[in-house]
Amino acid sequence: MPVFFIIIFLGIMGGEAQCGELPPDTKARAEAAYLQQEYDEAFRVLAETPGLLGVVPILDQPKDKARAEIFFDLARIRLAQKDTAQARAILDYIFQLDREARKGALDLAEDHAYLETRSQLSKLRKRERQNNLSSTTFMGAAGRSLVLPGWGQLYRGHRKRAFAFMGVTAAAAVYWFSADKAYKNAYDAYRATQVGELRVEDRTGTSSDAFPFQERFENAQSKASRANMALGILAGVWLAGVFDHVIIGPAHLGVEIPIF
Amino acid sequence: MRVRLILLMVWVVCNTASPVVAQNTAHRIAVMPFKSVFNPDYGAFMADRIAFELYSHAHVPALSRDRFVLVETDTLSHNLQDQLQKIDRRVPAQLLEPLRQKVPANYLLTGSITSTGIHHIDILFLDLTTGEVVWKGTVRDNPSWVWTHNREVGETPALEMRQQFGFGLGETPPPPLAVELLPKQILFQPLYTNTFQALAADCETRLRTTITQDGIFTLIPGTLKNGRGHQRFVRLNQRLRTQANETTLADAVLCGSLLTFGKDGGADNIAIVLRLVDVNTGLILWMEASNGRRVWRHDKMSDIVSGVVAGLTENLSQFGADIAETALTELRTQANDGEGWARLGSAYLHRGLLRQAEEAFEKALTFAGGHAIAQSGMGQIILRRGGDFNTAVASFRAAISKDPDYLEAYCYLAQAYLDRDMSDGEAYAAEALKRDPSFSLAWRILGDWFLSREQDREARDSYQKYLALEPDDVDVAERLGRVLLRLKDYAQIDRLIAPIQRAKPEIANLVPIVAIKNLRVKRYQEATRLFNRFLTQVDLRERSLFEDISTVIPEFEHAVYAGLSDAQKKVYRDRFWREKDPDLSSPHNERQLIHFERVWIARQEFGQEVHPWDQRGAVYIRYGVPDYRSRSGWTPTLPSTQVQQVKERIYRELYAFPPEGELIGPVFPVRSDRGISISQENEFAAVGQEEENNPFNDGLERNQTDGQFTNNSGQESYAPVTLQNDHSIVPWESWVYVDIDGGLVFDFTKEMGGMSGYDFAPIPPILPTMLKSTIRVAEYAPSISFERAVSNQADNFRQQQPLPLKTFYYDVVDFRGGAQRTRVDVSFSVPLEHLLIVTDGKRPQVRLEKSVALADSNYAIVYRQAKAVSFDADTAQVDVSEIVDVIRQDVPPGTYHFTLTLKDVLSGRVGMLKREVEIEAYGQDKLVLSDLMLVKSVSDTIEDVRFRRGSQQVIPNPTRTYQSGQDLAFYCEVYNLTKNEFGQTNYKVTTAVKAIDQRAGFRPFGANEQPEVALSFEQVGDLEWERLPLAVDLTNAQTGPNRLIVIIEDLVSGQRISKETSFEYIP
Repeated sequence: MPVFFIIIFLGIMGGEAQCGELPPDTKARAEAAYLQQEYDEAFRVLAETPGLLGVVPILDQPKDKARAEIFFDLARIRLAQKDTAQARAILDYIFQLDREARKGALDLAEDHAYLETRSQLSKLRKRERQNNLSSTTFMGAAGRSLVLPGWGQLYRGHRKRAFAFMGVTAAAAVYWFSADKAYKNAYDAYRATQVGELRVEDRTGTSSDAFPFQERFENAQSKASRANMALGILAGVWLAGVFDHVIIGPAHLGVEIPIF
Repeated sequence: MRVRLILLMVWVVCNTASPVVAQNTAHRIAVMPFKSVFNPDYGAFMADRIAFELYSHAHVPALSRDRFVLVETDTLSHNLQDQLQKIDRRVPAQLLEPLRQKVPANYLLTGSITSTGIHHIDILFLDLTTGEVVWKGTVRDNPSWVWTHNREVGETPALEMRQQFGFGLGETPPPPLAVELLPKQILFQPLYTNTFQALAADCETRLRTTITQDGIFTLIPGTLKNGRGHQRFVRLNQRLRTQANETTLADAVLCGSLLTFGKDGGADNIAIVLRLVDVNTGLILWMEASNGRRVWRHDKMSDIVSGVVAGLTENLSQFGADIAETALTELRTQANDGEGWARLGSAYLHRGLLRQAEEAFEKALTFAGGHAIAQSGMGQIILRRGGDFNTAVASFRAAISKDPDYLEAYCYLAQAYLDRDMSDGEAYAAEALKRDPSFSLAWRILGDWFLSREQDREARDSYQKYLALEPDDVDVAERLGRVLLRLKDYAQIDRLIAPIQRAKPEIANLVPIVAIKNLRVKRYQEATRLFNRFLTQVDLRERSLFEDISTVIPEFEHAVYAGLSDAQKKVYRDRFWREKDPDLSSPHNERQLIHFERVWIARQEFGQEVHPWDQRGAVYIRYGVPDYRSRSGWTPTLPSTQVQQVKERIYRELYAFPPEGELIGPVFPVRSDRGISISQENEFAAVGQEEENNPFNDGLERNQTDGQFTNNSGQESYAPVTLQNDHSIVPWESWVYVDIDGGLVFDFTKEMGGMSGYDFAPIPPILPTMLKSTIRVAEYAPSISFERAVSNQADNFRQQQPLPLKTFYYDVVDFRGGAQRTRVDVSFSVPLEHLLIVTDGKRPQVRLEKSVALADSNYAIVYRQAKAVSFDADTAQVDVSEIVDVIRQDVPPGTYHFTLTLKDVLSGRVGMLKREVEIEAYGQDKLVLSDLMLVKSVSDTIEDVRFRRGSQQVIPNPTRTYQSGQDLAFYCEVYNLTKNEFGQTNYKVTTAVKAIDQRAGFRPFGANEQPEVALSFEQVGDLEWERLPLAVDLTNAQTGPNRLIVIIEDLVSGQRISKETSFEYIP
């Protein structure tokens, strides 16, 4: 019964969240105040959006992306005021609501504060990614590379290196595949050689006589040698992808945290 | 106070709204204790824990606003809570109004808990403005998850609740208040718990100590009490907050709850939630939760409690950090180099701001100087947080290696070792003193160490040296006083402690030391005065320990006493102590003073780990100093013969084999690394033919035939401790009382590693094979012995008997007194030859202290008189002279406990007499005759006003002996004579003297009733009562014991009354 109640309750809340957009008059007043550089007023209008801060978060209105857009504008206002400390708190909050937030709820032309807000959110994403990369481990990366060359590099943030390994490994694999196929064909040809092909009755004892066994055997041997070399190259590249993690660590993304 | 209120309201507005959104105030949430039938402590704690979770997410930094503030509320009745739990969507109107009256909030979070192994917490979140249910759901908890999920106590349901409410990283605890709004004076209320009050008290003591040491907040003494005297409240309602506001200086009250989880009802996991409640508004200003866990058996519970408390106090210090930051402004500005940062770190550390201290020390380590201070500071931080001991020691060693002259590091290192009972610390303190003998801290550390080891002489020397350097440290003065009391060095107490006590009368702790010294040297009046002063100085909780008599009354009286109201308890106590008073005639009660002394010593000596004391304290308060005491780790002393006899008797009852050596330790088996040696068992088994001669063989079958009881010397086992065979692996103490209940041994062990201090040694789970029977083990288990001793002899008071006064005589007679009262004349005589005569100037004199007490039958009222008087002594007739005196007291008629004490001041000899006396009522309606007072002489000349009776002098004769040729003089009064029509009375007096027939055997003709002497005469008067000083000629009387019979006949009314008394007639 309580579970049913919760489901219904959350359903109602969720339904309301869908339509929990910024009220038009609030939006208009906030935009007007922003354009007149009355930032405190703009902030107040937005912060007082009905239901924005419920007694507990499940009662907050609106939710998710729509909520993130309102806070995007709040951060933008604070950045326009150069209140970076407060802006940081808001940006952190936006980031928890919607990591991909890139716009606000207000219809305002792009300005420096807008670009700065986007930039800061981008840096937060980058920082988060850096944190994720920093938490990767050597064993995790090596294991991944053992399964799939380049995957470990990708896991640790070395994308180019990862793709290089993947490409080289793929090429080596193709080369080995074709060499192996050629070897198998040659071998099959050798195995299919008939005694009759020696033409014993026609043999003259000179070099113009046919030697199909020997020729095809040598051909198969040559192909086998190439296929083995191709396999060695493939294994080498594969293992290089694994041992690459001995020399590389997690990638450094060059994170900037200018306002914090 | 009003200004504070306004400031706080301003803060509420400011803190709940951003500067631009001032009109939007935060919601107020009240969290009601959850109803938990199976364990009320669990319900109260979980409500607090969930409230803490809410508090931790009350603030939204993105908007600089609080979602809500938590407020303290009144509790709801169970009935109302039950009705609330049945609500689905909306609170019925008839419930809503009572709720609004009880709960000063917009929202109410309440719940109830049911348990089917897993606890289900049904939570209801109500909007009290609309009456709607905001949220309703169930979260679950299971004590075993603390171990299996590696969670803290209460964490699982709190996290589930947090998730269901949608709290995330976007919310934080509210920021600390501004300095001017922070509460400065805090009242600390005992933690709420019903089950683990001793543990709670232990935590409270540590909390108080740490908060006081940090000094950011001022703890004011006392606690809040409700009408029934309870101090542990689940919520501080409006009435209690008003009490705090009106009767204390408190700005806020620090309170909370405690819960423990553990196997078999133990306390392996401890959790405390604290909250700071503003007394004016009821707002919860701060909350914190802390947990501790005992993982290994050898983990000390005291260390775990320290860790839990450290977590709480560090956070509380952070809450008030702004106060410290303000105080440390100057130090911060000076922190430009290593020394500066290290000094700043030390200052932070002393205020409990460990995080800031750590940062400052780390900063100091980046500079060239100050490394020694920083390293030792880091070590202290580790220890305070309950971190790794070796890491802390390494920090101190690093500090010493950086600067060998930084003596504090030696002391911190010494303290770290000594706190763990590792004597290696002595060497470090000694090293510090070698480098600088005037370094006082090292002396104090050594003194504390010796004090804990009861090496009293060493402790005294160390403390004396410390006090010579730091004369204002009264804490150390108190410790020195304790040492001197142990050493019975009363002269040094007079020389060192008493002057400090007089100079600093506000220091309560020194008063009992001087009081006990006075008690021991029999200056009872001064001891009484000082103890009374001490009790007025200490807080209510401490005073109640001294006044509580449940520690000395028999077990069966506990329930009666506990059921009394405060006023009734006081009456009960007063009667109890009067009944126990060995000398009612003195104004002081030695027994009660001894009780105060014992309680104080129990608090000091046995209350270090447990509040108020461990089991040793309980035994000590009842029975005082044991006749023999031994302790693990001490060099044993050989007990007296009596003690040895008691131990051997109990040993014989318990064991089948004689002991290996002298019984100096516990007789009851205690945890050891091995039990009785196999070789010894084999030895006794081999000499089977000698079994009959074995005094330990009582013919009983030994209890252990089962393999499970077979002892293995390689395993942990239980065994007694003897001089030659001590394999104990648990700290123990053994106390012997030779005269309690026929001789008792109380063996204590410290099983819990510090949580409960010393407790009675438990019955071993694996019984040693050498025991005679399991029944005997149960019978002689110390806890059961104690219960039995309490029921047989609830307490013990061994008064040092003074030299007795060889002979004294007394007589108690009563006459009609004032309105509704009877006058009691207590006369006494002491032969002069038994008194010490001293010539004062030209007059030889004796000096007597005479005191008399009459306590009514239930000791409710005591009438007491005491006076010191001097008498001239006739040295020419010392062998025949005597001192005669009389004491008069008016009392209501009834049965009294009569005490007469005579003390020869000059020789110190004391004579005391106690008996029951019946004091007669002298009504107005019928003829009444007073008691007959035998007198030496009656004369018309009054030479001594003490003996005046009307116009005559009547000198009593308490010896009741008359010699041949001497008349039998006596004095009596007759009341309510009837007057005739002429206003005159007419009555007949008949006196008779008759020998008391002392011959044994059958009297064929009955007893001879004919008196030897008889006299009768008529008297006429005009008063309704008359004095009758009379004399009887004893010429015809028989020698030996005689009876004097007086009969009065009122010839007007025809009423008749008679009285008689006895005397000895000597030829």
